[in-house]
Amino acid sequence: MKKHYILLSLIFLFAFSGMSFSQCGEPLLNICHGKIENARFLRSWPIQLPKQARGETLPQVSFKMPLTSGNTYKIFACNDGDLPGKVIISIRNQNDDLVVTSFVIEQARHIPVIMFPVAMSGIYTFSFYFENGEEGCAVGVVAIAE
Amino acid sequence: MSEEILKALMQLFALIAKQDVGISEKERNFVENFLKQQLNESTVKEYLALFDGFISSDREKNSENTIESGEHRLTSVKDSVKTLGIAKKINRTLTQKQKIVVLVRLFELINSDKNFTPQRMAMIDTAADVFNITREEQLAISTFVIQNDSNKADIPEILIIGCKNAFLEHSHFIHSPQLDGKIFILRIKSVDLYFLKYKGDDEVLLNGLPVKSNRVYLFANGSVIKPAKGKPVFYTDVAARFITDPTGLHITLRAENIYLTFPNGTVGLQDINLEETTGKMMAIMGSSGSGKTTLLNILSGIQTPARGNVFVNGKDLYEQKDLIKGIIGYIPQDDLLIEELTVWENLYYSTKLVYKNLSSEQITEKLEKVLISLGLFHIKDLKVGNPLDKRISGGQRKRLNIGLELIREPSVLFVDEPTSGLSSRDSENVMELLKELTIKGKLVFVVIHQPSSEIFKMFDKVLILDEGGYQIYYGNPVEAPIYFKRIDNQINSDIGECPRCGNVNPESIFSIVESQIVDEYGRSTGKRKVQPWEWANFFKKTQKTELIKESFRELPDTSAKPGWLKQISVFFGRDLKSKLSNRQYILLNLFEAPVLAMLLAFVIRYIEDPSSGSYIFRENDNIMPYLFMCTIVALFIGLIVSAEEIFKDRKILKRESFLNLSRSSYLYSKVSILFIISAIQALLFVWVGNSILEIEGMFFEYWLVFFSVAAFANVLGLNISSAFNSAVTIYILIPFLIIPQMVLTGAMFSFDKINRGLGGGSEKVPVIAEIMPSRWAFEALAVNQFVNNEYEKQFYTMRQLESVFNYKNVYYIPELKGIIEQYISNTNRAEKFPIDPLDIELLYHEVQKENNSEYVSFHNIVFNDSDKLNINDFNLEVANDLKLYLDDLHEFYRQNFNSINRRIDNLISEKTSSPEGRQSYQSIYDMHYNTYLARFAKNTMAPLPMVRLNNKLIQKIDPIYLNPQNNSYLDFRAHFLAPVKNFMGGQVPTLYFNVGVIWIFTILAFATLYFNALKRLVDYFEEYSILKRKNNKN
Amino acid sequence: MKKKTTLPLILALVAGLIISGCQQNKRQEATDLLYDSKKEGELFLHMDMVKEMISSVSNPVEMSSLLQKAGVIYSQDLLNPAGNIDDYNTNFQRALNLGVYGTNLVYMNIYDRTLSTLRYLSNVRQLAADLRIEQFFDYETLNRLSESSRNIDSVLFITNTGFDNMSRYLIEQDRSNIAILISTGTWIESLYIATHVQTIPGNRDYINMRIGEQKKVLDNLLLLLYAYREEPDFNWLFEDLMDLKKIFEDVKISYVYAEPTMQELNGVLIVIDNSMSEVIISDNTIEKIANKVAEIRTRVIG
Repeated sequence: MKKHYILLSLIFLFAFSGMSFSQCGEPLLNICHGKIENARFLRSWPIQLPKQARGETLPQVSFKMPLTSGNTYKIFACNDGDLPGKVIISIRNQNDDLVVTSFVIEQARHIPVIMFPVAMSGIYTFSFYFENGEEGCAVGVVAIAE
Repeated sequence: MSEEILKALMQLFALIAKQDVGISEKERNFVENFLKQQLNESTVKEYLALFDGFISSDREKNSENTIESGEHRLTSVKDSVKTLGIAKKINRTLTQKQKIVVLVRLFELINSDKNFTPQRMAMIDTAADVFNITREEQLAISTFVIQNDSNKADIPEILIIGCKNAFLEHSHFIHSPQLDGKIFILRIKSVDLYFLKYKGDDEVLLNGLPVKSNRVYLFANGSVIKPAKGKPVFYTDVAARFITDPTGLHITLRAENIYLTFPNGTVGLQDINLEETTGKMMAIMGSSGSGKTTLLNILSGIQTPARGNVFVNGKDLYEQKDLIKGIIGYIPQDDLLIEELTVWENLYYSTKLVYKNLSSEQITEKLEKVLISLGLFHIKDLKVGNPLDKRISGGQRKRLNIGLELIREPSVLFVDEPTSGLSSRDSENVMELLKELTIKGKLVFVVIHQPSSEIFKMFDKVLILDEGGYQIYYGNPVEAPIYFKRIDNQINSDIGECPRCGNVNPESIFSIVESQIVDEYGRSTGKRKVQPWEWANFFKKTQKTELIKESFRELPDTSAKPGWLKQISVFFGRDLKSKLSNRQYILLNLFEAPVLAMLLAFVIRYIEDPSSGSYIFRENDNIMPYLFMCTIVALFIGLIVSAEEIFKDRKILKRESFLNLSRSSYLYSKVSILFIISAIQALLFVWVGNSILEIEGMFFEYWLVFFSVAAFANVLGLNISSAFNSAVTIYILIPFLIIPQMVLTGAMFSFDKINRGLGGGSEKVPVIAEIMPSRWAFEALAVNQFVNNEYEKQFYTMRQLESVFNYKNVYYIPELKGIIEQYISNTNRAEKFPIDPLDIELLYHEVQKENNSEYVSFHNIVFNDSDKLNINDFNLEVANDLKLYLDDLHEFYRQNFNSINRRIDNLISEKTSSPEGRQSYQSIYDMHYNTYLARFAKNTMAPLPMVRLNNKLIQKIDPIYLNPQNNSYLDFRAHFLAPVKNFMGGQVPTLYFNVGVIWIFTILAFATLYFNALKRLVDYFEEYSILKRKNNKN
Repeated sequence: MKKKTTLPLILALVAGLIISGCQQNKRQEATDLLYDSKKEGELFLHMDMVKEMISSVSNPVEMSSLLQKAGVIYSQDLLNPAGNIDDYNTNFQRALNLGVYGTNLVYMNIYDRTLSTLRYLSNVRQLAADLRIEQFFDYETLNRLSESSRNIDSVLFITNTGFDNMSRYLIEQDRSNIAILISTGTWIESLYIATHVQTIPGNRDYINMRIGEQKKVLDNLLLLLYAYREEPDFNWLFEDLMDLKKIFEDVKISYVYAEPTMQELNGVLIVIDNSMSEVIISDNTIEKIANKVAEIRTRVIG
């Protein structure tokens, strides 16, 4: 099997994948992947949200995922630079208590990486939304720190 | 003559001599002379004494009895009985020819004193009867021996050579103006013997020895009579008189002003003129490169001259070729023999090809006659072999070559250097054979190089060519040296031959013709004394045209050749026999395929699981390469077996072209034999290969494909074999024919990954690959192996549906939706956003396809506004409609996929529900399904499951489940590994369709072979390059 | 004359042969196989519910990481032999074992047993292809794997994203049963490995607690499987897992929640989880679980 297969011509040929990634997802995921460093990839989510419409609630998406006591999780997200939105992650435990968020409100500052050593096993909820309800595209990644 | 025979002869002589009047002195002298001719001095006396003894012993007895005349009759009766006894004894030992000679001698004996008593004549009659000599011939012999007056000897068996023609009615005549007296020649037709008798006072030489008047000599083959003055008379001159028109065929050949220029511009022949008639043997001589063979080719019609004409009985050789062809025979310098066949078989098949109506007895009879006359009868069952591996001698080969033509009895025979490479003995034999043909009324042209004196003198005429194709002599061979010497002012210029030995040295001619100017030191300067054109001018001045009465008789119909089918069977038989008799060939061909198969299959049979010891077909990743190799091996074997076939027969074909034999029947027979060989090889290969690899239940299909490819390769091989002129070229060509086929099977290189300029990466198989039979074959094998194996058969129909729905569901519909969603989102952002023209074309195209899909009748999901799918009418509203439509369609495909997927799953669950069921399912799976091939057929290694090509979406995964779509009735092209092909409104399984295509290729190749298209092309290019070179020179 | 007519004759013959080989009836048969909603009822489970339930099955990476951290020694014998793939003929077997092999793949990878990794990866891909979800392990993905193995743990990346996308896709495609089986397979195999590895004595309790925590996950899985319990193969799986659930009933879990505190270090926010969870599980229960899981697993891998 040839490893480096050069596509005949990208002008005419389009690659299609049936995966239900939104368009901004996959290339961004690959970039974001590089930030895992010495952790083990667990899960990633593509996040694409429209601009918050007037009078509507803030667009956001949530995903559930079990975390195990004793493991330390590395949680981070990457933004698509073409769009204005900057993603904010917030994590809640199975009792819906907020554990952590990646946005420091007082300083209006984004925290690039969250390290979460879990003490209580359970299903946690990861919610993503964009700062100020901007339109945005991002990828959220959860990994296990070694 | 053996002692015993001589004794018997003496007894016979004595018996006859003593009859009636008793022996005279003259008779005794005759006996003595006779013995002197046969024996040396001392033994002559011995036998003479014996003769005297017979005479006297009889006489004593007689003298006792002659007292009473009544007893006289008794003795003669007794003598008659004795004569009978001796004659019978002679009969057992002597040949017919020798018996004739004995009879002639007996007549001569009694003629010596002209005592023809009835008793004596009765005894001779008795002997003659016992010898089986006809009355007519007895009469002819007695006439010839006894009569010395030409009027009385006027019978058809006698030829008279004399100064004036004395109104002879029956006998033949040769004019010899300066001869005193007459020479009588007798011909005994039954044994083809000639006797000579001279009555006159000149010194006449027979083969250099003086002839005594009134004595009978044997006038043997090749003899020459030289009168004291005037032209010698040759055996052939004599023989020709007797054998004028035995078949009523009189043929003249006249060549006028023949010019020829070679393609490279050099002059080949200059103004050649000649005229010959049947019964003559003519030599064409000249230094090498003077155009001898060219002239021969022109005269025989193989080559056409630039200018000039050749007429045969007044018919133009080149314009009425078909009329004349049959009467012309050509014996090239090369062998025309089929090495693997025996002498007999070589002649046998030639005969079969020439005569359609002969029964096998007639053929046997004819062949025996010819073989005897060729002196080859005793070796008739020897294999001919090749010149290196000598089984028969060179002379025998040459005679057999001549024999091939003789069977056909052509009236005009052209022979190219019959003596080259032969010993002098063999040469003479061969030339005598040719000479005899002239006696039988043939006209023989011989190109000859450095003939011996003996041979040179056999010719009736010689034509000498000089460098540059000048005709510098045309006439009597013996006079040729005189002619040149005279011009050269040499001494003895009137003596053509050595007066004592009778030798003519043809070399002396060339030493005069080509003699060079020497400088003052006697060194040759390399310049000719007399230039060729000067010789030609001399010749033109001195040329005496000997007028020959040109015949304008109709030529015989030579269409006795067998019909088309019959020819096929003869060719077939000949080829088959020659192949069967070559054990090496048969063994190699028989073993080649199975050994290759064994090697291949054994090497690639492996066990995937390192911990397991049993072979599982399913796990063998080499099955796909095996299919590929099958194709290539078939091509190879097919090509190898045929590549030399026509080339090998080339010379024989050239000869057979004179026979007006059908080329197609030759080709059909060739092809049938090769097909049979290929079919057997295919059988063996597939049997061995498939057994080793445990490919179950596909034997016929594999065989069919292998055989079809090999058959194609056979015909392809025949094409190159007929077009190229050396074995090396042919074998160099084979890679050119094989490698592109290997590259473009689709097995080594994916059609998606070959040069776009050649059609790579498109929807269908690239055009360049479509013309490769190997690709059709490989596809046939691969598709058949995948689709029709016992395992896949259970599910194929369902899996096909599953594949279609999966593709639509996973790739196709989402992509169409994606295009629309993109448009919708773009339009939402900016007002009036135009759709990409390619996108809308694609949508239109694909929606049309879906609207016409075979499932429409089932789901009734139709997009009615497809006319709005163009750049002008497309808008958000249409886009939303389209999206809804696609959603419905998507749902349909999704549901159906799930449904069919579940069905298949249920089927398998059912089959595997019991342990036995599970086991049998598993074993069918292991034995019939091949995982790697499946991966190949499903193209799961494809980089992209679907590809967009401008305005089309092309499915790349699961080609094996995808039925091709063709718009036109005759369009059959499909993607690679399509399970069926559309043709003329129906669907044909790929196996049979592809095999059909291979056979169409085969038929086309046969057509090019029949019309010799490749050969013409090659010749055209050769000619073109010569012209170009010539232009460059200028 | 003969010669001239033979060529077209043969051509016609060949064409005839081709046409006579036509088969028209195959299509007819094919349309009989189309989906008919009247005949086939579909099981209905709410998509979101399935998604949520499935997402409670933890990623095998977590289990493997735990084991590695606990000093567990790698054991090839615990894996489902790669050659077993040939025995998986039905979707049921394929889906379960896709989960099993996926778990094996992760386990091997965490322990850097890269030699056999490709074999298991190809098995995963093969099973996915047989289930017609090959698009999640396509050529491109494998290509990326072989190119990027030095920088990131791409096998994990591929399996994790692949499995995630796969199960989401399956659920959306109304093939939840397959998704459920894959998750069940993953879960059983993880549990099997966790209950059968050799550990350093001091670390055993920690692993046992993690095993005990699976009680909740099993409940979720059973909830899903319940919907399919009437189907032939599902039924034994459901029954067996129900037996396992009974064993798990002896496990007691309690949670104490406390506000977490944060600490920022070089732009990395470190969360200190002050909550507590307590799992009480006896050695006897562990052994029973281990035996039952082994039994089920043997049935799963055939």
